Amino acid sequence: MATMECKAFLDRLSSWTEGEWPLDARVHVSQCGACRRLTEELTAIASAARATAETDPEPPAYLWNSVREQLDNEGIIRQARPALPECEAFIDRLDSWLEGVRPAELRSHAATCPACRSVATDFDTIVTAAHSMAKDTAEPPAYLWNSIRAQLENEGTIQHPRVVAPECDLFIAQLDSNLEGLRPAEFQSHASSCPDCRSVADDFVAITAAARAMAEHDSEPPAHLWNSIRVQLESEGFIRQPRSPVVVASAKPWRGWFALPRPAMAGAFVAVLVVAGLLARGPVTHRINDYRWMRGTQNSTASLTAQLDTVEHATVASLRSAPLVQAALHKNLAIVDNYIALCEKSVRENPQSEMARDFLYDAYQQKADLLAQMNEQGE
Amino acid sequence: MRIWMAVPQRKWKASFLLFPALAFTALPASARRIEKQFKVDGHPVVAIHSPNGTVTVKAWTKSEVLVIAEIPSDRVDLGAVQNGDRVDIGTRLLANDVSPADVHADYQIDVPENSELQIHNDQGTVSVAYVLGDMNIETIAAGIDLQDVAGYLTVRTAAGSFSCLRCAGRIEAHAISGNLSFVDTRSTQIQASTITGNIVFAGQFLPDGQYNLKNYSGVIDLRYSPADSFDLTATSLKGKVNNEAKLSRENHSLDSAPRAAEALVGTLNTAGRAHVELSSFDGTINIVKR
Repeated sequence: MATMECKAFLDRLSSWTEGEWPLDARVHVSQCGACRRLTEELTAIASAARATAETDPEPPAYLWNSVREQLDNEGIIRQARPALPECEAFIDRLDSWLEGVRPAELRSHAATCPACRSVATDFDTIVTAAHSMAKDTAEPPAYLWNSIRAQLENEGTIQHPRVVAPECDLFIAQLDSNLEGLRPAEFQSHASSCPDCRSVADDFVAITAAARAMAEHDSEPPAHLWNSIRVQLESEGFIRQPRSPVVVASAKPWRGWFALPRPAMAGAFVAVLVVAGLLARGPVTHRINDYRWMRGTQNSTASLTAQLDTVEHATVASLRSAPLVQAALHKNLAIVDNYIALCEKSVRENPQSEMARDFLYDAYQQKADLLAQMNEQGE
Repeated sequence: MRIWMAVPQRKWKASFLLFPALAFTALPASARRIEKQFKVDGHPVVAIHSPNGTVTVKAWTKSEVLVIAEIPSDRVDLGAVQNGDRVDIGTRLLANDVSPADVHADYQIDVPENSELQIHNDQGTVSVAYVLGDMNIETIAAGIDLQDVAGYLTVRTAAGSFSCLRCAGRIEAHAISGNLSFVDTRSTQIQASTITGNIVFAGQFLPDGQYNLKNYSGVIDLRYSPADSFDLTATSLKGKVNNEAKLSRENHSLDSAPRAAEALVGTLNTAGRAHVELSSFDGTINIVKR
């Protein structure tokens, strides 16, 4: 069966999140690690939202219509408009952006095109948020995963994506019924025996649950809730105040922000889900998560800093080397201190950045090593 | 009374407790070129401590350690002591009030090629050639040049630069402001880091080799030839990544892409991949063709 490319999949991501799961998209997800990862992140987001969901069996269809209408009124989503060729090229390579490959021309276009920059920013934010919700541990390097996968395949624990069976086709065809809460026996039977389709169904339920989390008991989202979400979105930087019409021609406030095709809309949607998921968990926001990260980092470095300061005072006082060596040591100590200060600043700005924290810890390590060298000079 | 300059390790200190006796036999007269020779067997360990001066170590075919010291001042002396297959060499002060300018000695040392080296030099230079044993080198401001050496090499310097030409084995090199250079290396594993220095890697990418280069600012240059094969991850948190290599992103997913301002993942060719990880906080990473 022919499958689709990542671009095509991303173009239809909003359909995916709305529960439309064409077979070719599903096959693509089963074969493409990047897109599978994206859907897993969506699942993680939805699961977080679902954790606080009420006992309603299914969100009523009118609720989502209402939310979508509200989004449309606010100008956060809109029908796609014809994009500039540069924007189309940017969108074509958005999957590269997602994978962290950012050639100069993409960065250049993002710098000059507010809409595409918004898309890029949103994707970065979404991925970061999803990662922070999904796990705390560092990701294994690619070669390690390749090695593990090869080993698992050799042992028969996992296998390559297989050809989709007719039962799977039928299952996919019945997904609409699943959306409406109708789950025939054969549907459930197949889901129980086919891990792939079960995963699809679980994800499907999880994504729809995300919308439910926004609703709680009210048939309509109350205005104050929406205002609260909007304020939160603004404060978190997920959405912005309307731009000048000179920058983005827009009939309504907000219209210009996601004036790009489906990936942008999908970005907006997922961004809303991210924030909704966070809000649904209670008063847990990025800021609080950042605070927790920051507090954790500070807790783990505070004693280290104190110890290093103590050692530094004693070491510098007892330093008895040649002037040139002393000068080199002091100069390099200043370099390390500056390194630490800049890394701390970076961690403060982005507490959840593993790389920034790694550099900070490296900086402390460098200082400890240098002080040890200086201490030897003083002995 | 502080006779010995900045001896870094306890073992080293302990070995030099013997020196009061040795001092009477090694006191210089007017000659400032001093030679000492030690017969060794098996796997010799040669430890050198020099506060200031050049240290040049070469391998030869004899089972001996030959030390030639050039000492300008008569207020310092060569200290050398053997304990089994271990030979400790250092600059010895003959008074408490020796000025820093007087604490200078240049060493030429010949060792068996399988010798293990432990070298500490504060300022000056350290050069090692053709030695195949493990070595640990620490300096403050002294530059370090290694050539045609092998084994497990660990290098740490604050302000000195490090150059490794045709080195093999496993290399760990860490600096603060010094530059690091690896040319024509045949190493299976290199870990190199510096804070403000530059890093140049123009060595071979061996199958399953691991090459991790990291700095804070400065430039990391990775020079490759089109026939090289490696998996690459290059990340600069606040700087730039410039790439000339035609990398394939097959088998690279979101999992392998760091979330950073500038990041690059991919594979160059496929056979016998090495694994290359370049990371910088604020510096520039260049992946350039040789």
